[in-house]
Amino acid sequence: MIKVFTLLLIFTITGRAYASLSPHDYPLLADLPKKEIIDLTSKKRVPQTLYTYIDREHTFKESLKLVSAIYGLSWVLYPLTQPKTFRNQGSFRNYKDNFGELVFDRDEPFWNWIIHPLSGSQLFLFYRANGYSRIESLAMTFISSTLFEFTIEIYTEPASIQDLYQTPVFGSIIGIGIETLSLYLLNQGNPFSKFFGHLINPATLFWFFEGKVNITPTWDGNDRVGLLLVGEF
Amino acid sequence: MLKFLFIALFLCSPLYAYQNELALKGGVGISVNTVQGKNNTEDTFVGYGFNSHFGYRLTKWEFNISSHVFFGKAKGIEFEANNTTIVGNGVLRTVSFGPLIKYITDFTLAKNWHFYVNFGPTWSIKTVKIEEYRTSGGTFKDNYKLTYISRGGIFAFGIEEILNYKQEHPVYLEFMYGYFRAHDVSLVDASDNTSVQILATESAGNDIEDHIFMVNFGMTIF
Repeated sequence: MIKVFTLLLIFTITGRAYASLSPHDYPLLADLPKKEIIDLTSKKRVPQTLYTYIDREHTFKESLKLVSAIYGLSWVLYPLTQPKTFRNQGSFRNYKDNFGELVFDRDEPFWNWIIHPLSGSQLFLFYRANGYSRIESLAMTFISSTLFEFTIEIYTEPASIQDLYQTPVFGSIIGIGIETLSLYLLNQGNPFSKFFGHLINPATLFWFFEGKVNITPTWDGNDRVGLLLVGEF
Repeated sequence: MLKFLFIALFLCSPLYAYQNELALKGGVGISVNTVQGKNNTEDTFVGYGFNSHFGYRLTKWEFNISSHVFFGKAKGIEFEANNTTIVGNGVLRTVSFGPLIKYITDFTLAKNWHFYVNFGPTWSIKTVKIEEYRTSGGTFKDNYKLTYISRGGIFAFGIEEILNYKQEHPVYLEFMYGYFRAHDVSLVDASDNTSVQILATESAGNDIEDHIFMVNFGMTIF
């Protein structure tokens, strides 16, 4: 169920930002393209939407649903992203042999330190987008990547000790970097930055992203202006 | 003296810090490694690396799954795999994992900086990419690499900031000693980096032994 809430007027700006947005300056807004608002002090665009992360509590059922969704998606994405490996090395005989096996893989650093952590970072950002805190997202990423290692990837190779650890842990560290950079880009207010903000953090594009807050400037007709922030989750 | 230490370590003022919480920590380090190869060949070299710890903190005890990664370059070490003896210089990369237990004492060296000990068993993989070498008794190519699976342990002591919230990113500084002894060695063909081939795996015997002294510096990330 979608709850709609209204965040109260967060701040009323009387000094710095929008300082010159007085009745005298107001006609300036009419000259601008529709919906575009600028901060007359810094001369920057004011974004229409504020992107952020809102942490909240989750029920066990909700977490189970999300883990199941990722698990199902992994079964679809694994053969699609690695068709050659899946075709040449995959079999249900391997699945049976590899079940319960745990080994050190001999893969090159490119896979263990770049590809796997990058996958982990997107998992981390998926859970962040669903309202989990950073440490909870790491724990959920741990669960999802462990399920992948022990019950999906064994179709082609045994579960790897390095992947079990590095995918969620290094993935989360990279995930924080991506999260910070993407929020910076998304909140710049220009389409170019917004495009790259979404590109590096695609989870912000989907319906489940809970940190999207609409911004509406307000003015009481006299000398007080502010911002009304409205979000949905 | 022992009595004094006991009092200092266990009976001082209590800790006031975040507790009963999961946390992720990470940092970088500089190491001095001694690698012992076949036929008493040995080299000591300076390396670098990083460490990460994911675990749960009670009040004074912490239970972490930890990883230490270190790199370095060894010279004149003799290796043996698949009936081939290889003597040469190589880039070594060690990745270790293990459950480590940490005990944070009440003993402080400075305000908020508490003394701690950290220890536990580790399992590691050491990859040796040999750059300049001579061989005898078999085939070894430029794209081949050796991997050693080792068991060992880590003991560390250091100081960590004890702060009320992990969001303050408490910092730690530690001195670590690690010992690793190889039990399996594999000869790996890494010509195709998308799919490496293990050409042979055998018992490493007493082939490779590592002693690592490391200074680690890091913080609680979240």
